[in-house]
Amino acid sequence: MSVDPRMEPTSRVWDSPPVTPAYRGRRALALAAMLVAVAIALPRFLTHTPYQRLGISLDWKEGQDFPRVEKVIGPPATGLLERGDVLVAMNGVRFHGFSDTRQRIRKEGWPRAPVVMDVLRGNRELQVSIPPVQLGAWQRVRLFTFPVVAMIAAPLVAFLLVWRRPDLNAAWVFLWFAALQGVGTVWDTFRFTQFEPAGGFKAYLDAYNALLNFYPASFVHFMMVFPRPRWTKGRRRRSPWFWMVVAAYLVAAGLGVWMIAGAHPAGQDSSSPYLWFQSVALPIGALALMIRYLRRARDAWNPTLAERLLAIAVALVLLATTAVDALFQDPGMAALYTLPVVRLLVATLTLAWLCAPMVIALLIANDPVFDPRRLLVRSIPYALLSGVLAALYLGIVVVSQRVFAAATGEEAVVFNVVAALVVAFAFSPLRVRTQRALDRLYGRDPAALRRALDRAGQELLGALDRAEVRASVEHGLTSGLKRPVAVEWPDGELPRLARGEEIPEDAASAVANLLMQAGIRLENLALQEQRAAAERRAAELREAATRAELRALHAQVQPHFLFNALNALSYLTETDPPAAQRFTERLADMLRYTVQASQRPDARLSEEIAFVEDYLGVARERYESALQFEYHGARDLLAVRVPPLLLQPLVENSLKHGCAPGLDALHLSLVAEASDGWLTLVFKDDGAATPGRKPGLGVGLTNLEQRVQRFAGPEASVSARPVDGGGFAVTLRWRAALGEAA
Amino acid sequence: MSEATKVRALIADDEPRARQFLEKLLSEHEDVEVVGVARGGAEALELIPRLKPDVAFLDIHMPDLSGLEVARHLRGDGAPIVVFVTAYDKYAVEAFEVAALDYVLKPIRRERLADTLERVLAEARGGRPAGRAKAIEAALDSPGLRDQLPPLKRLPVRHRREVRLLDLEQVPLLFSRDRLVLARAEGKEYLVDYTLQELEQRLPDGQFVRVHRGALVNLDAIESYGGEDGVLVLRLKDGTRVEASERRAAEVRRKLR
Repeated sequence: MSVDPRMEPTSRVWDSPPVTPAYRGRRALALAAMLVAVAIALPRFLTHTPYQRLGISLDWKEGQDFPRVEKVIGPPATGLLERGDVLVAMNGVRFHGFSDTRQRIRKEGWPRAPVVMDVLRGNRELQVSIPPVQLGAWQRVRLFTFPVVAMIAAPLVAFLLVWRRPDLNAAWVFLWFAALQGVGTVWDTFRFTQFEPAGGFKAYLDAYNALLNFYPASFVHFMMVFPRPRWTKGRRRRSPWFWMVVAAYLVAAGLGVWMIAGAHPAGQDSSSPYLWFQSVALPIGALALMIRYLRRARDAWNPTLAERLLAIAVALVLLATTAVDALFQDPGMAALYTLPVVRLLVATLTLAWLCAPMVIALLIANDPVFDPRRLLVRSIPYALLSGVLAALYLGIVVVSQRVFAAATGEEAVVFNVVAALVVAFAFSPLRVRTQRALDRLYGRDPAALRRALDRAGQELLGALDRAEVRASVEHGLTSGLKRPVAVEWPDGELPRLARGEEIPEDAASAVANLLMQAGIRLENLALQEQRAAAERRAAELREAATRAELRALHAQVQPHFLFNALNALSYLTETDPPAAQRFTERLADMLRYTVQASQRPDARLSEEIAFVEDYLGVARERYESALQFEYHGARDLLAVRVPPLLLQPLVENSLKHGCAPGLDALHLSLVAEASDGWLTLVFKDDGAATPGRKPGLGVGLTNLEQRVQRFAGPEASVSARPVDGGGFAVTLRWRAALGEAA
Repeated sequence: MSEATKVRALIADDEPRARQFLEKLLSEHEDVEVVGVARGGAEALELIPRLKPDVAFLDIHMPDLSGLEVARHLRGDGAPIVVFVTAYDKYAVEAFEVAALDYVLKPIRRERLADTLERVLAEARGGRPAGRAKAIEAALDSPGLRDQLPPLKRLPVRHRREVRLLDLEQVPLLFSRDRLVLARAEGKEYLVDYTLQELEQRLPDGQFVRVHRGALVNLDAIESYGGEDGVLVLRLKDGTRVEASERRAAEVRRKLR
């Protein structure tokens, strides 16, 4: 049977799941993914330069044949060329216009040999020999700090999110997307090769390029699950968004195969289907993002205005970038690039595009599903502290050494030791102060916390049930710590903080006190509830007993029985007067016993048996079947005391159920036994096994049990079961002082 | 019907003395001929279509099937005039008074029986007023009486032109279709004269459960049950698959436990 889904505890977004081996496995996987991304990007990073062969950017004036150096970016031009130099010829061949120059610089950039450049500087003509590019890793980073930071930052944030919530698919998709974007940015930034790739290295580059086909698909995928999946769990096949993601991946895989299989004639042309793909996929993703953030707020969806604006800005930047990328494929449009306005615009867009993943990371960070707040709160103090300490150390060492050197002309290592000592002593107070400053920054004001907890404590005293206790504690913690805190409420135990939930040290004892108070309040409430329940139960029992007694007195002989008997009597007086006389006597005896029974506390078993005989005597005249009754038991038990009219409902029951049409005889029997101070009476019939007679007690027998318990105490019991081969048996048992009765 | 023809009567009572007494009293009237005697409600339902009596004396309190249930299933042109016989049924008597139906109290008095017979004879010979069936239905539906009726131990159903009594364990499923209530038994479907709501009240407590607006399922006939896509589905021993409505699923689960 399926479990009722409503019974499962609803997990809240900030409930940190405990770290399980599965979590560890997934974290290891995330780490491995990061390492793979680095491994993919690193060879490209180290073998390609971020600019063309010469290390300059060129400026074109209308109608000019020769380019002018606009800016010297880095080696090898640094020191050889200057801003404003006009490039006339390369290796003795003159340039012819914009596209010719571009192509030649690109194509002839390979050789490891130097190129000879004819340059017009001012009025002088120079010949400059420019050596091959030699860039160290550090130089590469320094030249393009911002893209490098951008390409590292987004995957890093994604990685931290996955580390924190490896169970969230959206985090994984973000990691996949951000890693691809990082790898893609490396590809795009370091795009100028320093030598002709061949063999294995060419295969690596091809595979790398093919992998980048997945970037637009990953973006579509990410946008479909950010910040929540567009499809409901378990029903994604019905969502068009889901199929869009599948289609994107299929196209990406198809493109990749097509590129690797070499279906394209030359390296550059292969990018054109990719551009088409990107021009379709990126807008789809951006639109999905926009639609999501334009949606009206609902219970689980409530971004702030700033978040909405940021998200829409990101979507717009992505759309614009895609448009520009597509436009500049056209050479005519590319010529526009020479206009300063266009260049500024493109540069701004590129900058914004690089920032996009970080903005998305920020949006994610603000989303309660991820709750990276704790991650930040925990790592920021240490980052700050490291920064402060490093500055301190360097400051001391550098300043002191300079001063010392200026004063004495010598260097002293002793200042390193002094700086280390200062840092060591300053560490602890600095840590406390940093922490406190951050606490204040995050609104964790101890005084406000104490006030909130005090108020919660007051509220607790007035709480009337579990829900109210919970509400006041949770409200107190949330308003005191300025964030939701998960508290577990195990049944019958003190409430406690959920696993993984951390409280600032200075607040820990106050919070523990509040939880203790809540536990005590709950216990008190539970005790009150128990006492009230016990009282209710007692009242119910009293009422039930009274009711049973009343019912017993009211319905001792059913009016049906009486009037039917009178009907039979009416017939007998005409047809068989002696029988009528016998019948009248029996009826009279029976009625006499019934009337007396309501006025006496008990009766002897023998009286009950006599009553049963009378009752059956009357019934015999009414029914065709022969009715017989036998008593089996010790003679002395005949004197035992029983509740009056104990057997009457049993006889009536047997007649009602046992006398089926066509059954010619009904045998009733009573077996009495006494052992170990217990009296057992078994009343049995051999009537028809009709479907209405099931084991257990019907309403009538429940009444009887209540009467017996009132007579002989709560241990007394009445049970009933069908007898094999037809019939029914009722067993009555109670503790009886048999010595007196005998 | 001419003056000379006797009115044919049927007696249904579970007590032999009561049957004999009524037979004796009726035999004293020369206009009346007792053509059949039934020892219970089921037997009465069997005999009436066969013997086609003009008048049926039905004891209300019969263990297998109450006289009231028998009357409910007597319809159409050949249906007899019903006279209820009762020892002590306060609510029934009130209902009969309201609906102007004929009844006799036990012990039966000659004068009262004579009065009743006079009316019945006039009605039998002079063509019956059409309102009788409706009056019976109205009396049966009166709230006081409805609550007093004992639970049905067997289920009367229509089979061709007769009424049959089905044991409840034979009936796995009761359901409504096209505004008719049908009982499934032994692979056949029978017409039932009760609404599902009445059946819910009249069947023994805890044997049948209403799984949705249009079906009652016999708990003993359920072979297995389980959730499918959040819907509670019952599989009956005869292979039928019944879905419980969302509203009643909790109640059904509780009864199945």
